[in-house]
Amino acid sequence: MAIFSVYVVNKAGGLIYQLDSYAPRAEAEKTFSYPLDLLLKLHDERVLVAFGQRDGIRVGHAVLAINGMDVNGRYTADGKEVLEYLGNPANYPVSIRFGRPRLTSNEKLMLASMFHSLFAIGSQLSPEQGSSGIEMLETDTFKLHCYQTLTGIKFVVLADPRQAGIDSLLRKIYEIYSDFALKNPFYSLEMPIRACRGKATVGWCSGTWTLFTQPSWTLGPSWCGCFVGGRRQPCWPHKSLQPPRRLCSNCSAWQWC
Amino acid sequence: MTVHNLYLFDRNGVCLHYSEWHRKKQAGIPKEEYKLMYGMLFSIRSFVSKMSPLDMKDGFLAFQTSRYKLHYYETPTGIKVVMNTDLGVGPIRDVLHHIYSALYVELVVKNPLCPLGQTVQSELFRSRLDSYVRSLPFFSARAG
Repeated sequence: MAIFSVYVVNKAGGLIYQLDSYAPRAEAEKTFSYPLDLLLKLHDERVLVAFGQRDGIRVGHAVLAINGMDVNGRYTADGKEVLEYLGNPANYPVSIRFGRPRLTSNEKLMLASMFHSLFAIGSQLSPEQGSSGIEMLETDTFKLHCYQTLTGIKFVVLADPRQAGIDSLLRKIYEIYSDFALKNPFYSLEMPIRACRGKATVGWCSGTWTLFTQPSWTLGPSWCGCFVGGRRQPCWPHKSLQPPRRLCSNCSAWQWC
Repeated sequence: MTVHNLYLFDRNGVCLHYSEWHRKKQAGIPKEEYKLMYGMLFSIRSFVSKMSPLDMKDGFLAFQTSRYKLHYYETPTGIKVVMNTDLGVGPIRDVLHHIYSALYVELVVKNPLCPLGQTVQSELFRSRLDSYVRSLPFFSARAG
């Protein structure tokens, strides 16, 4: 996948939107016999490899599954402690799957705030006048691009180092943000952006703006069946929103919009 | 295309060497600036190792803002070479590696009179580093 993830950070440094779209990270499943030749340690509610490297298993990889069953943090699927289970010779031979641990939502929040501060420090340490913050950060496995708007919102995209055209992608994401989040009357500024599926939208029904709930996936006017002034009135969704099938609160009927 | 300045840090955060060639904006207090720079690089390294979708080999390489580009090279012993240049400069990892191996190791580490772990006092190192950087293809004598 060329684009790994997208983060939107508000002006206080809080994460308001996050999207991950990379393929599952490389995992290695091996059968081990007692004693384990890797040193495992407990860190942040996960069991990580502290020392030892073989066959695609690196330091920092987490235990993802034991004998085919996914582990739940530091406990196995049956509720036993992973380190205790792997310390008991009676449980061997055992098949363990290792891989790079996925970030939890909390960690993503912390990393977004960390980047917000690093962005500011990057501009402070500049040897030139008038520098912006960090706009592009390069490593050997990914490139991080950041676009800060005039209102202080940062759009951050992690992509493959060879991927081009990210600047226009960032501008496009800004456009989508202003069309679908800012123009949504139910969205509070600087708050996390919730997905539009299943949420209330505003539409025009029978000569008035009303609330439509339970949206689905079609587009166009709908006929409410409301008789106002002796005529059927159409229901129009607000043009900045993607209108689906909705329940019109005016006439409480399902509309195909 | 030009080089603004160069920092050399050891594994404990001590700034071993700093030299500048073209610098328009001075930092507040030099000592605080070294600590801020080291702290920022430490945080960026940890940030990058968490964010990376794949296992990393070289780690953090460089970042750029609208006015400058910071290039980073770290050795397995924790010596960090940091160079701020203009935006037009491409990857210079080999230049930073040369500064470490041919200048720092040869002139400071192998010098029995140079104590490690503190700011480098060697005038030979300073002058060789200065002439090396001035001889780089992307270094132009006039600022900007």
